[in-house]
Amino acid sequence: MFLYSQFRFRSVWTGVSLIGSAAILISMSVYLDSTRTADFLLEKGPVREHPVWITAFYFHLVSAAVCLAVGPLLMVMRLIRVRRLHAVLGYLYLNSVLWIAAPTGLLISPTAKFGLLSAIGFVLTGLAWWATSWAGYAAIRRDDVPAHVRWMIRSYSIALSAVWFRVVHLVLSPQWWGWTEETNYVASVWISSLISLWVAERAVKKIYPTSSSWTEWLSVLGLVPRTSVSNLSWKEN
Amino acid sequence: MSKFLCVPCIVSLFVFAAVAMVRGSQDHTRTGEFASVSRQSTNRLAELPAAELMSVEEANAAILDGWPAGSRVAIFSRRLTTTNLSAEAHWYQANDSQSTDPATGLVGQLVVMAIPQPREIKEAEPQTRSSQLQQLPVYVDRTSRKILIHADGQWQPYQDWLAIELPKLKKLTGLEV
Repeated sequence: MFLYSQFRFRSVWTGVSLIGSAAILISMSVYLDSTRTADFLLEKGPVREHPVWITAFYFHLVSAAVCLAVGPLLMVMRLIRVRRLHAVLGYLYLNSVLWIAAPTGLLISPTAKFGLLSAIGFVLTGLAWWATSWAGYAAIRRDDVPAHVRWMIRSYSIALSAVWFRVVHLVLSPQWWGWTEETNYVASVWISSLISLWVAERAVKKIYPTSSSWTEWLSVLGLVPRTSVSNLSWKEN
Repeated sequence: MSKFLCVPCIVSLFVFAAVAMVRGSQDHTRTGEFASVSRQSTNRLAELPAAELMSVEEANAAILDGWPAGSRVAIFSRRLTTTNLSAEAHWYQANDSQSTDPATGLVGQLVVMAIPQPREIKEAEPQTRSSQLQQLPVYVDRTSRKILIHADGQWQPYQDWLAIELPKLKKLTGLEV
């Protein structure tokens, strides 16, 4: 996968991402079972009866599934070279993130388990997902391929925070470490987001480095002019 | 922003609003754990025979049978004044227990009373040490027969919780050395 192409043990990283994505997609079937209410929804209490919340939840579920399914196909070099296919898949991914998955994720974030800390983590991840996807779209609109690649790597990496969250949550299980489930959950939210950002920045640095990733992040927020971000040499192989 | 993004944006907004409005207009008088499923699927569930739904008696048995057999009674007897672990289940919707409506889940409370033995208190974890009386919400999904308990800030399968907590309580109360 393009995202991990310059990583050591890239097949392991790719395997974890693909298997994790597939596991999430399969586990989503529990929410489509009309004969029982999923534990996640039971935990939410009365808020799950709110029409806006439950609609946002199911929209998030379906659109995130699209992102996780389409994302890997956008990161395979051979498929990227088939421009038409890449454009169609990219269109699907981009619209899913920008108009459904990220906004609905932000809508349901405030009701995250264990309160404010995890809610803030989800909100920041959602905002970063939206911003990176939009920046990727804006870059390709102005034919700035290096910037497009960088931002879409970041966007897909953030999408994979769903996978990292489950992995970290499993690794930090209270059964093994003796802390509370709350500590585990909140830590998993933040650590998974940090892993996503770290993976993205490492990939960017290896594949399409810029003069400064910080400047590029600030440019998407409009805090510095985009012209201050310069591309360095491309290291694709 | 190009029309290629504008159109999906507007369509997504309209579809979201439409679905939310439809859900909002659905019957909200129903309570219980199946309220969030669609009316169509609820009607299908209502056709299930009553025998397939878990009764209060079955739920009681499933919840309390895991506890030391004599402890619920013995705590009140003169003979065993030092027996100090009891568990009771109280149901909030006992009147609905015979209902064949699968939307009626059983909601109740597990009341656990544990009197720690002095020699065990020192070894116990701080939160266990002080938990002499616990009232924990319990939910029984009558259709799937799944029992959930609300403990440690989250809903969790009752049997999982019991497997962890009961040995601790037994040790704390001197029932198991």
